[in-house]
Amino acid sequence: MAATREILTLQLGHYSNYVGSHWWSIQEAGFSYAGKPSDVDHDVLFREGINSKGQVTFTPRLLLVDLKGSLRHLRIEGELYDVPAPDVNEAPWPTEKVQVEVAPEQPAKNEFLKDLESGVAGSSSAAAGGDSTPVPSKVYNLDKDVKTWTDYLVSRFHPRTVLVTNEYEHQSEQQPFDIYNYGVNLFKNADFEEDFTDRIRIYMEECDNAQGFHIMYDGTDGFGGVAGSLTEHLADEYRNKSILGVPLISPIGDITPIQECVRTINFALSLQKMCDLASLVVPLGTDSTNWRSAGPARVFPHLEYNSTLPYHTSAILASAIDTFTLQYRLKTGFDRMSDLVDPMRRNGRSVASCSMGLPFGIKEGENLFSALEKWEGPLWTSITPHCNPDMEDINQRIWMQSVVLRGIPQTRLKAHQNAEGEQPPNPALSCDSVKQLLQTFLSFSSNGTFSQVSSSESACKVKPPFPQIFKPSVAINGDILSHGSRSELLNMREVPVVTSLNSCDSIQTMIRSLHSEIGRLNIRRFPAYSKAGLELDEYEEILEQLYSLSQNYEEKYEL
Amino acid sequence: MAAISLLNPKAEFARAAQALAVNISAAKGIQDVMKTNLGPKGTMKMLVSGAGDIKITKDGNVLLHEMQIQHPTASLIARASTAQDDMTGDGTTSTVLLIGELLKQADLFIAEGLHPRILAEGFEQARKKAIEVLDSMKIPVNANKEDLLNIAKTSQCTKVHPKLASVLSEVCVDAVLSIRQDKKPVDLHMIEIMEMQHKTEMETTLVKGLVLDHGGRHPDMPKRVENAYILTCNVSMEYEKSEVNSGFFYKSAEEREKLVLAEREFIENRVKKIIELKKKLCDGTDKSFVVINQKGIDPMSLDMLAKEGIIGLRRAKRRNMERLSLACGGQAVNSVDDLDESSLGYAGLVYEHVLGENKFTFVEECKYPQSVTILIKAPNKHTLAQVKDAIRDGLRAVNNTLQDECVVPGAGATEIATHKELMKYKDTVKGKARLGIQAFAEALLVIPKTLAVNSGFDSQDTIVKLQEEAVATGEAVGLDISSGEVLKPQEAGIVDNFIVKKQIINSCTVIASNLLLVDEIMRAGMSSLKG
Repeated sequence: MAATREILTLQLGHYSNYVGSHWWSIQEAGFSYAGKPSDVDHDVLFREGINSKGQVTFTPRLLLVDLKGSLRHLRIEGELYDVPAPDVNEAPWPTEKVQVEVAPEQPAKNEFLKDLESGVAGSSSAAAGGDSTPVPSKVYNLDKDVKTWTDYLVSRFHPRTVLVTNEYEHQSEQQPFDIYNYGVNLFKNADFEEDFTDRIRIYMEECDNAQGFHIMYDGTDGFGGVAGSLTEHLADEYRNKSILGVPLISPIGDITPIQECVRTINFALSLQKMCDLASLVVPLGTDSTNWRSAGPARVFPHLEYNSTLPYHTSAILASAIDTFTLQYRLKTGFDRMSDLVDPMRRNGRSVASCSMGLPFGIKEGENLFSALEKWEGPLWTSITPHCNPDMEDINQRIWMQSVVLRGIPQTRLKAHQNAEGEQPPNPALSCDSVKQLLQTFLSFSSNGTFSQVSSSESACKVKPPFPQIFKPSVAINGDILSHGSRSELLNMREVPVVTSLNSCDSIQTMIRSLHSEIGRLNIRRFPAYSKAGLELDEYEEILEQLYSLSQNYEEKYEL
Repeated sequence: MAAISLLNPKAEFARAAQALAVNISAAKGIQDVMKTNLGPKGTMKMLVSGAGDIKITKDGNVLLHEMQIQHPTASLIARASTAQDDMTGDGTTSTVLLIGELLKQADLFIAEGLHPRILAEGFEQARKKAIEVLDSMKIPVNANKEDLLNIAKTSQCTKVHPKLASVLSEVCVDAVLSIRQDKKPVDLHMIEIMEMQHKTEMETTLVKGLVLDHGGRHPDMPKRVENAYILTCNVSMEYEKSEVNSGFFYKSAEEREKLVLAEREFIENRVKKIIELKKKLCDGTDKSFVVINQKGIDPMSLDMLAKEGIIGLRRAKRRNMERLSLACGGQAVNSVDDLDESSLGYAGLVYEHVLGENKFTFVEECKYPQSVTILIKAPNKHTLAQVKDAIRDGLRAVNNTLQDECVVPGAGATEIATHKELMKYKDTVKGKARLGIQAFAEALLVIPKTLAVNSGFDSQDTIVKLQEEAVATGEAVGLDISSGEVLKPQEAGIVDNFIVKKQIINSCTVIASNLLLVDEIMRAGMSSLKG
C-alpha cells in the first residue's frame, strides 16, 4: 500500500527529550529542499498541517512530556501556530486589578539558538545540503551551555506536542519524580490522562495507515511508570499497532547510594511492564553496565565523548534510533514496523539489544567491499548496558539481527570490474547492492544468525547542534582519514552509520543481572514505593516475571 | 537537643515555639498571596513563564496548581484547599484564607501562654456550633432555573468578569437541567466540554447534542446531512497486520500483496454490512446515515462509505460512545453482525465545521438529548483554559445545589451570622476552651473583611456596619461590594453552596488544629532519599 506508514513518537521524560531533540534535528538536517530527494520517507514521523495564518507547517508527529520548569525558553504552544502575545489590557478585567507575575529568571539563550533565530545557522545548513564543497561555517561549542534539551532544539513543534505536568517540578529536591509508582499515579490523574490520551487520539485520527508507536522514556525515574501505564492504554485502544519501547538510561551523575538503588528498581519495574505489553523493547544507554553504579562508558573507535554529559550521550543514542528505525521509514521498500518487531519477539524474547558503529568506519577512498574484506574486530559497539553480543564468539547465540547501514552510496559498493566475463574470485563480488553485499558478508561472518538487512544512501547528518564528539581523524563526510586530520574550522556534515538490533542470549545476562541486583535490595527499606501504592506481593510477582522473561532466552526452551 | 539528633546527626529540626512559628508564617504567607483574589472584585493574576507562556486566572485552585510552593507547610495547606476544589468545585481561596486566619488568631493566644491543645479543643466545639448555625441558615431551593442561575452566577462572578459570568451561568444551568432526570443524580461527565479557538469567549454556547473534534477524512463525504441515522460502533475498519502476515512467511512482493488482499476482504465485508443497512433504511427516503467509530477506518473503507453518501468518523473518544447513545438514542455496537434499526440513534442535523487544520462535527437536533456539549469559544489558548476552569466549577455549583436541595446566603452573610452566634455560645462554655471559640469566631470574619478590602472599602467600618445590622434585624446580611453598604443576599440573588461552606469549616478546622499541635518539625530519614 502506497499510503504513508505513520508513526506517532512519544517522548517521556527529560533525558528522552534530550535524545529526541537530537533525533529531530538529525532528521530535519536530512530534509533536502533542492537536488536529489532523500530516500527517507519523512512523512512517517512528521505531519503536515496548516496554521491559523494559512501557512503550511511540517512538524514532528510527536507528543512529549516533561516536568514543570524544564522547558526554559521553549513555549508550550510552540511558535508556528502563534497568536499575538496578549497584553495586560486584554484581560477582561479592570487593569488596576490585574497582577502580572513574570517568572523570575529569563534564561539567556546560547549562541546557537540566537543564530538559529536570526537565521544564520539555518542558512548555512541549507547551503551545505546541496553541493559538495565544504563551506566554513560557524563552529559551536555548546558543551557548557546546554542545560536542558531546549537549549539546542532546532525543531519547531505543533501546539499539541508539548505536555508539561504541573504536579512535579523539574529537579525538585522536595518532591522529586523518582519513583516508578509516582508515574503510575500521575497517569491515574483523570485530567492528565484525558489530556494525554486525547492528544494521542487526535494524532491517530489524522493517520490513514498508522504503523504504531515509538515510546522513548526515561527508564530510571517516575516516567517508567507513565510509560507502563501509557503502553497499557495503547495496547488496549490501538490493538494491532506495533509499539517499540525504548527505555533510555541517562548518565548516572552525582547521586547517593539510595538514589542508585531507586534507579535500578524503577528500571526493573518499567522493563517488566513494557516487555509485557510492548511489541519490542530496546534499552539504550552509553554505560557498559548500569545497575547501581555505572561501569566504564562504551568505547567507540572514532569518538571522543564525555559520558557524563547528557548532551553528548543523547546524541549518540539519537543517531542509533534514527538509523535502526530506517528499516520501516524508507521510501523504497514497504516494510512496516511489525516486520521488524514481530519476528524479533518470537518466543517471548521481547527485549532486543542494540549495537552501533558511529561512524561506520570506512576509510577515505575505500569501497564497501574492500572495507568489509579487510575488517578487523567487531563492526559495532553495543549501546545496551550489560549486553555484549559478539558475532565471532561461538559460545554466544544471536538468533536474529536487523542491520541497517546508511550513508554508503551505490557508487562506493566495490571496485569496478575491468575484465568482463571473468569469474569473480569471491561470491560477494557478484552482489550489486549495498544490502546484498552486507547480507552476504553477515551470513559468512556470523554463526547461525538470521540477518535482516536494510540500507539507505542518506548518511546520518551530524551538523550542529550535534556535539563535536568525532576524533580529528574523521573527515567531515564521515570517512576515516588515513593521515592528517580535518580542519577545526569545519563542522562535521554527515557520517555513515551502521546499527544492529539483536535478539541474543546476552540479553539473558542483562535481565538476570538486573534481577539478582534488585533481588538483593529489600523493598521495605524504600517506603516511598509502598506509600505510592506498590504492594509487596505485586513487587515479588514482577521479580518473578522478570526471571521468567530471562528464561525465554534459554535455547533449550525453544521448539 | 532533640532526640532525633542522637539517632541521626544530619537531621534538621525545629522545636516547640519555633515549629509553630514556621507553620504560622507559612500559613500567613500563602494567605497573603491568595488574599487579593477573593470575591468578584478581587484581582486577576496573570502568570508569565520564562518562555512567555501566560495564564490568566483568579481561581484559587488554578493558582495553587500553578504556583511553585516550596514550603512543606504551605504545600500542605495548598493540598487541603485543592482537595476542597476536588470535592466541591469552589471555595479554595476561602480555605486558604481561613486556615491562615485561624493560625493568626491562635498565635495571639499562644503568645500569652495558652496551650495549643486547649485552643484546638475550642476550635472543635466552635466547628460543631458553626455547622449548626449553617444548618439553620439553609434556604431550600427547587430545581428551578432562577434559583440555579443565582448560585451559578455567584460562583462564576468570582472567577470571570460579570458579563461573561452571566453567559456562562446560563450555559451551565441549561446544561445540567437538560441532562437531569428526575431523582437521579446527575453525571457531569455526560456534559462534554469542547474547545474551539475562534471568535470570543462571549460566544460560548450550549449545544443540545454532541460536538466531536474530528470530521470525515474523505473529500467526497457530505459535509452536512439532515435526518440522520447515527451508528455508533467500536469496530475496526482498517486493514491491520496480523502475526501471520508479518515476518518471513512470504517469498515475494506478489505473494504478500495476495495476503494483504485476503485480509482486506475481511474488513471490506464489515463495511459492506453497514452499507447494506444504510441501503435498507435510507434509500428512497430523505434519511441519511452517519457512522461514528471508536476504532480506525482506513482510506479504502472511507472511500466505500463516501460513495454511498455516508459520513464516517473514526477514532471517536471512548467516552463519546456513551454520550452519543445518550444524546441520540440507540446503542454503541461492538460488531456489525446482526445490525438493525433499533441500535441506531437519530439526529436531525449533522454538519462539519472546519477551522484551520481542525475539524469539528456537530450532531444536533437530537430528540431527547441526555448528553449535551458546552462549546467554549475564545480567541486564544489561555482564555479557553480560563473559561474551561470556570465552567467546570459552575457545573459543580449547580450540581451541588441539586444534591443539597438548599443554598446559604452569600456575600459574607454566613460568616457574620456564625460569628454572632459563636460569641453568644462562648459565654455558655466554661474554661479556657472558650478562648478557642473566640479565636475561631474572629477568624471567620476574615472573609467579609477581605471582601471589603478587595472592593476598596475599610474593613473595620464594614464589619461594624454589618454586625450592627445583623443584630438589629436578626436576618442574614451581607456586603454590597459596589456600594459598601449592607444588603440582603437572598434578595440580591447572592447565594453559596451549602456543601462548600460546610466543607470549608470542617477542613479548615482540622488542618489548623493539626498545624497548631505540631511541636517538632524534622527532616530526616529515607523517604527524602537524601541518604
